[in-house]
Formats: sequence, structure tokens, C-alpha cells
Amino acid sequence: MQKPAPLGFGLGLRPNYYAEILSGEPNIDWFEVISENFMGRGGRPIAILEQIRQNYPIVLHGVSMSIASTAPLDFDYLRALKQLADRFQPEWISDHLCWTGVHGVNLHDLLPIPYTHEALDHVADRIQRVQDYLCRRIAIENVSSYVTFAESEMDESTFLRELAERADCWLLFDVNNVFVSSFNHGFDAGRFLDDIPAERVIQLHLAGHSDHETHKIDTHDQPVIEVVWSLYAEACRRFGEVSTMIERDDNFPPLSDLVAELDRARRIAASAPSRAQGVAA
Amino acid sequence: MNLAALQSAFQAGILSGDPVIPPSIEDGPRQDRAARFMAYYDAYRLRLAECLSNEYSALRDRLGDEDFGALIEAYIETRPSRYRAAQDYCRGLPDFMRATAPWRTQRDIIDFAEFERQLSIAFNAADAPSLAIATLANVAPADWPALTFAFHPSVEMLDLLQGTAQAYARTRGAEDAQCSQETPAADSETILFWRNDGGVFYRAIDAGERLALAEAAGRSNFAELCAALAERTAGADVTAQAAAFLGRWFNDGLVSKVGVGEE
Repeated sequence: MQKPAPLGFGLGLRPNYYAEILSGEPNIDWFEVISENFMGRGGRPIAILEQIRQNYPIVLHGVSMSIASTAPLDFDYLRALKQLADRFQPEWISDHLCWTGVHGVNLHDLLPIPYTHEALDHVADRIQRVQDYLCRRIAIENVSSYVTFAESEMDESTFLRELAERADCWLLFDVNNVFVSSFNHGFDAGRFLDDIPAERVIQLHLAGHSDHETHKIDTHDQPVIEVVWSLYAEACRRFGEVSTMIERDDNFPPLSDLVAELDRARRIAASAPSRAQGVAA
Repeated sequence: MNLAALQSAFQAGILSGDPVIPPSIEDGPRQDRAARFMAYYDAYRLRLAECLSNEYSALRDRLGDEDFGALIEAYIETRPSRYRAAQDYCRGLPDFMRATAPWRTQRDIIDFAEFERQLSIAFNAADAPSLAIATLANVAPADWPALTFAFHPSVEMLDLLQGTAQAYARTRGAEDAQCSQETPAADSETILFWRNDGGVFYRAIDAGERLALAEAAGRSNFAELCAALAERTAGADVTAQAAAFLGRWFNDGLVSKVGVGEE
């Protein structure tokens, strides 16, 4: 099992930056595209994605697969995702370890799960079915969470490690999410990172968050903070050369600010001696 | 509690008017369980409210923040989202207004919302080619009566309260007004929406063009379209009028396909 070749340092593709990306040559190696923004839709956004795809690799990142829901898998969604992937040929497809609703309702959020053996069986089975349908391994991302459940039987990092092995999927490791959850729940982010199997990690997310003193919220509306940069450096040492990107979804700064953050990520990655093995058993 | 029961309780707690904290949730290092759950309770409402504000920014400007806030709060509390994309959830707002007091008697506001919704639908409609009028040069004269048309997926006509399009244009500012002044003096106006080259357009159309477009979209051929126009105008020769409509439809980028004798 060979990991996909690293793409370098990328950015979440957002409409605010379309013109600048198309008219210039910002130092961005690839783009992450929110799948749902383009599924089943036409018009200018699709035309722009066509243009960008001609010049950059892309990955598709979803927010609605609801892989941990106890509702049936949504094959209409998967069909639309497959059509989008067939058209734009992403390097890979990712979504979150979460659920978005049950009983036909969608809460439009990345909702947390209890880390139980039942949930592990359930989610691993669903990932395998999705991968069979899409004919490819997908990457699953750890989410920021704001609650914990009395039912949990293991910690999140153990759950993720077991899930990746059982489902035979990739992992998208969100550095900021680990920091946010570690603050909210009081665990050690460094130890969390040590539990994650490096051979499964094909992408890293960096982002900012909002600080509410008693808790932190993953809002993607601020620069990456110093402690997350430090955790990123540790992730680079732990995981080796991995495609890295910055998510920004609100309070948009000039594109040059985000490019500067990517440059910082490049410098950190370049200076981090790798402990990782690039090939899984 | 198993996973299914936990998810049902979690969702019910978010959707209830007053938050109901699922029993599974634990206290955290700095927050009690109720405070922790509120992050999800509030996020659901904020996310949908933000999407509604973006999708109906002109309606928000027209109603003002307070009245618009009351409208979308009522919508969010009584209509849980059943859509994968929040944007699709937003599309239900005019229908909610039509069915719910006090908005259901306010046709001007309902139609204004419907107008704005149609702009969004047109913007996101599926892609299809827009044929040039030169396409018709390849049609043999004998084939004209059997000529049929298919329109771009963004093309839609709405019958709205007279003045709705101009009210929208005023709200958006004159530079955004793309609506021609062809509106007849009547209670309603028919507005045609479409997308061309990524831009969304609209214009008022008269009863004749409305009929012709409905016939053509319903797969009537050119002869049948002309017959329908002639019936409306008591048998007058309407070929020139139909040809003028066709010319404008092509120039506006409305026509995606022409065929001869196709059903």
C-alpha cells in the first residue's frame, strides 16, 4: 500500500480568492475543494473549477458524507460525489469522522460520536462500503469536538488508529482540531499525535480557531496560532513529508497572508527531521 | 445508550425550542455539560441563519434586520433542515412564508423572496450550451414548422406581483437593475430568469412571449407555437412576432438545443 505522492502546500479553494488565483501565480501547490459546493451544480463555480484544475492538483473534501450516522448511507450523495470525482480527477477524497443527522434531518454540523466498540464496528463498515462504491480509499479527518460522552470506551486517538486499520482507509490529520479538542477535553495533544499511524496519514490541515476562554471553537477565521505551529512541527517529525494545507472559511485576509502562512509551513516541514516510514505494511 | 439512541437524543436536543441536554454528555474541564452542548445547539441556528441571510440579502435589506430575524427564526425553529446543502434548505423560505402567519397575507414580500430565490436557482442551475442564432441558418425552410426547442436549465418564468422586479432592483441599487420596463399595467408581472456566461439575468415579458415560451418549453413545435399565438390574437398572422421572440431567446442565450420533429 503506497501512500499518494505528497502534493506540497495547498489552500482551501474559496470564492473570495478565485480572481487572484486565476490572474496570478500565487505560490500554492494545490487546492482542496469542498465537494458539496460543486456537486450537481453548474454555472460559474464549475467553470472556475475547470480552469483551476487545468493548472493545479485538487483533492475533494466533503462535509456531508455523515459516515458515522446510524441513518442509511446516502447513495444519492455518493453517486453525485463519484460523478464529481470522475469529472475532476482529484488526488483523493476526504470527509470527517462525524455524523450530520438522523431520521432525514441534516444539522449541517460535524457532530461528535462516542468512542465505543459499537461505533468502531459501525463506522469501519460504512467506510469500507463507501470505498467499495467509490473504488478508492478515502481519507477520514479527526474533527474538533466540544463534548465528550459517558459511553466512550477508548480515547479518540485509539479510535482513529483502530478505525484506519479496520477500514483500511487513509487519515487526514487536522492539527488545529487536535489542539482545540485537547483544550476542550483536557488531553495531551502530543500523546494523541503519537497514537496516530504515520503510514495512514496523507494530508494535514492547519487552521485558526476562536478562543472563548472556557473552550475553543474551530471557526477557521483566524491565523494559525503559535502552539498549533509547534504541534505542526511535531506532526512533520512524526508523519514525514505529507501534503499540508490551510483552511480559511471566514474573516478572509488578503491571499498573500495565507500564502505567507503556507511559506511558514514549508519552512517548518523542511526543517523537521522525519521519523516516518512512507510505506505501510 | 447505543449509538442510534444517542444520535437521536443529541439531534432532538438541538432541534427542541429549549435545549434538551442529552444524558450522555459529560462535564468538561472548564464547562458543565449544558454549556458544552450549547456549542452545537447554537451552531445549528447560526449556520442556517447565516445561509438564509446570504441567500436573501435583498429581502433582509427590505425587511430590516429585526423583521428578517423574526422570519428566519420562525423558519428555522419550525422547519428542520432535510437538505444536504444548507443552500437548498434556504429555498423553502418563500413556501414557508406562503403557509405561515403573519407573512402569508403579504404577497409583496412573498413574491420578493421568490424572486430572490429564483436568482439563486438560476445561478446554480446545471450547465448546458447556449446556441447562437446562426444555428437557425442551417434549418431548411420546409423544416421550420416542425422545429422544436430546448432551453437552458436556468430558464424559468415566474408570475409575481406587479412591481416585484423593480422593487428588487431598487433594493440592490440601480447599477444592478437588469430588468427592462416592458411590464404591462396589471396585477401581476411575468419575469423571465436565465443565466448566460455565468451571469444571471431577468426581464419582464408580456403575455404573448409568456405564451410562446410556455409552448416552446412544453415541446410544441414552431407551427404549434404560432397557432397558439394566433388563437390568442384572434387569427392574426403571428409568424413575425414568433420569429422576433425566437431571435431574442437566442440572443439572450436561452436556447440550448433545436430539433426537427422531436417530441
